[in-house]
Amino acid sequence: MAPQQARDEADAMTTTPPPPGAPTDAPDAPRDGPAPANGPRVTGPEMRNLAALRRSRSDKKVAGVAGGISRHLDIDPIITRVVLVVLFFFGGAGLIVYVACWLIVPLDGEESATVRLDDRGRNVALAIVGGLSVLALLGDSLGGWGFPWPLAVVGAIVLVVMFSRGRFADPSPTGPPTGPSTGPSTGPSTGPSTGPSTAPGAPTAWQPVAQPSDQPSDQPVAAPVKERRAGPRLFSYAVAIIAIGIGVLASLDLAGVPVADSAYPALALVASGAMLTVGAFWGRPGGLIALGLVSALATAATLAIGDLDAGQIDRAPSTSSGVASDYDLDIGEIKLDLTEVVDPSELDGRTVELDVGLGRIEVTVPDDVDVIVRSDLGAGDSTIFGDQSSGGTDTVTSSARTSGADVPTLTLDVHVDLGEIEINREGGN
Amino acid sequence: MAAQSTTGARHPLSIGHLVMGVALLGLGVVWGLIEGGVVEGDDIRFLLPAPWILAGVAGLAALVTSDRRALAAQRRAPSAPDPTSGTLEE
Repeated sequence: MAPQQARDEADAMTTTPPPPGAPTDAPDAPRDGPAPANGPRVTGPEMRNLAALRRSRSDKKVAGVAGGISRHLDIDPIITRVVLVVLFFFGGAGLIVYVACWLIVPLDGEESATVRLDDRGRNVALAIVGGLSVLALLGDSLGGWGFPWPLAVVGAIVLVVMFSRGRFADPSPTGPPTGPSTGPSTGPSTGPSTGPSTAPGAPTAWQPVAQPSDQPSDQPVAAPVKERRAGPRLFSYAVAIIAIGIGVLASLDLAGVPVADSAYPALALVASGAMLTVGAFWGRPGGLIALGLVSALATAATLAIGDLDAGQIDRAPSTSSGVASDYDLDIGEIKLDLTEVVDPSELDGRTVELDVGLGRIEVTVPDDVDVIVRSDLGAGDSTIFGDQSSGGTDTVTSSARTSGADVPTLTLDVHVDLGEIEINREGGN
Repeated sequence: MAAQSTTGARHPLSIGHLVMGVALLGLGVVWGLIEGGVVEGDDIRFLLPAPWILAGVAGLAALVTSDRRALAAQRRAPSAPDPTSGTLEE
């Protein structure tokens, strides 16, 4: 390359307008010059380039997410806000999108957000967020968890792979043709004078073709691209392996083989980890960290949900032997009615423990029993024999309405982390 | 490694990807132990940091190994570039 050509090219590069979404001094300024009279002012590739998305500083109600999305898609911010609010009520999809964008998408003029990701990682993370919100939306709209989600997920993953390898892959091919590059080149835009891998005859990173000298200097020039590692994109391989694995697991599940719910995200977790380990030495592992972390979170969530004891316990034992010593529930309601017990004298000296993590405990005790209630409420309201309180520990004693020397005494240990405790005497307090 | 050359799809060791890969594989093993009933209750909370410790150790070992190789290569060829000047990725 002739030195004069190189200088011209370098000048052209330095006068190239920044790519859409790149931080500028005027964040909300139109990105592509004067708007055309008709049609959108952003192209399809620009819309799909989610890495260019930025939260708006000037048009923000909470975190600037809706303003940023509207600017990215070149639509009225009101539309975005209404859509997000509406989606909030359909499986929480709007909330997922908003919170994720708040964490992942940087503000105008910044290159990183709370969750620091490079451009490709942010692209993948936002695509995953979009997928999750679509699942949440469909889950709320199309029959909930009865919908054949494994097949839907496999189909979606196959579609993603097809699109990523097809027309959605690198829509503006300004990058290098595939081939090995040598050395830690600083990129093609630096020109031959700064690149370390420009020895004559040596295989070099991709270099832009010099423009003819008669080309106008204000002609748009392809934006410089980062050097990419050689080798296959392992993300695609991981997605394909995950799709096959999920399909196999779903088939086994449908055939009656017991498959834990958490096996599906765990499969993605292991595949991501294996591909990342391979990618540390070989190929291009971009996007796998985000995929692995999402899979890890999903695995933890499904494990936790699988272990949760949720529902309602409604007991009205007729004998003292039918009264259990403890009732335990993670989420839900425990209702224990002791008024049907025909031998309350047998309750004398017994302690019944009731424990709910999130929910409500309601106990009704018979008239002819002295009751000691030891309550422990993390947050919420408690009404014990008519005495109301909110939170904390308390010990309340209630005497039987009947008098006599042999009145049995029952102790209730009641614990709720978050919710309500209600202890009543038969026929009112 | 720092001293090795890029050949085809093989590239200098990426410590970050190695650490995350080992960590995720370790979490997969933890999931297997939990799901298989090998570890239960409070033992789980003691097991969870293990993958991250393992990943950190693997990353440190890889760093030390690659640095030692780079220094050895530098001693053999004094005109070789400085091994701390970015031959390791991430």
